[in-house]
Amino acid sequence: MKESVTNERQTAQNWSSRSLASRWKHEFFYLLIRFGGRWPAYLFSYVVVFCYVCFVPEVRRRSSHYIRRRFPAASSGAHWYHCWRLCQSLAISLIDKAAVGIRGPQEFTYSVEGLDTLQALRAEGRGLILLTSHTGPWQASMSGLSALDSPVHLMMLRAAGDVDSQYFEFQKRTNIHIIPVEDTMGSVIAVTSALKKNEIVAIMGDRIFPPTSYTASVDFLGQPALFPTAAYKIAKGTGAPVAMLLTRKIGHGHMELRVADAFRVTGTRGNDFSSYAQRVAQALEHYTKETPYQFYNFIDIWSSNDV
Amino acid sequence: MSDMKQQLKELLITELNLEDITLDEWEDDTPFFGEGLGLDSLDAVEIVVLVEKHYNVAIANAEEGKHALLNIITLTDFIKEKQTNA
Repeated sequence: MKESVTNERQTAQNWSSRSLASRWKHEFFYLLIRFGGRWPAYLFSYVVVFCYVCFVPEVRRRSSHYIRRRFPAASSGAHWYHCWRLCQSLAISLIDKAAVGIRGPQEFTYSVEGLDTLQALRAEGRGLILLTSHTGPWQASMSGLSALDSPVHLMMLRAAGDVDSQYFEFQKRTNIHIIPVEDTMGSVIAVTSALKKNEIVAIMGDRIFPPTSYTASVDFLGQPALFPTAAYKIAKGTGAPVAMLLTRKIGHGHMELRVADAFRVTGTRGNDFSSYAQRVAQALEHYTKETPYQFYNFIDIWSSNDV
Repeated sequence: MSDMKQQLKELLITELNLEDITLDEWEDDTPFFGEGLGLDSLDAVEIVVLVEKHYNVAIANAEEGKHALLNIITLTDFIKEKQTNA
């Protein structure tokens, strides 16, 4: 589980990609997956997650930001249950990510709803900004984009000492490239260059990256929440179209990718991109209604909205 | 002031909606980012695109970007150098 903070300004600056679990715990699960497949890891994860939710208050606290808004009428018992379901689902998702990396994408089947939309947008030749979010198997499902036949550049913020390997780091066989956002100027040039080559840039639509001034307060699950708007600034500057991609795991072996929205950022003066952020928030809210336990943003994005 | 510097300033004022500065106020060594013009790194996207569109010069990597996008002098020099070597 990723760390969260309680203040918006701190959110972007203090959020860390570091996992709560130590390196050896990750390595243990990787070994299980490598030699036994996903199922032993799934089974063991139930024990681990139950212990974490019972005995580590921080786990419940981080889960509560979202659970309180998604299930506002839940009793304390129900609240605990929802936290456990969410954390267990996240654990399964992390195992799936590792399984795709270690054993290959054939571990799952994939479907892409809206593939023709993505192909049409790429045919425009201006690159494609893929707005992803912390929903479902968002990383592991990237394998499902192979039909687009394009390198995918992931903008990512990774903390020093992050031990949670990304699926494409297990084996050098994918066309996924990381653009580290810590180097802001470098990332901007890399993104612009990739889009110019008509390649795909994936940016998180629900996590704020530096520079932190690119945010909008929009309605999400009944309360104002802070969403990032940097992607729309890039889209405006480069003319690249934006497609919002939501992923979910169905059953034990299928990953669904769905284009929830697609648009161009035009006619916007200045840096007010709140209308686009609201579209994304609405799509995410709809997603959480359908799939409540596959929303893995553990940051309190509702905590401060004085932007 | 060289023509290119003047052109670039006019272009950036118009395209980036720089409302807090005029051509007369804009010193050549005013930094683009931070306390200078007050731009941020994402504004660099638009500058990179504008430079390529109007001068057919690509800022291809981070090193070039960090070197060229300091102020109007460095950007003009970068464009001229690229055009000369093209």
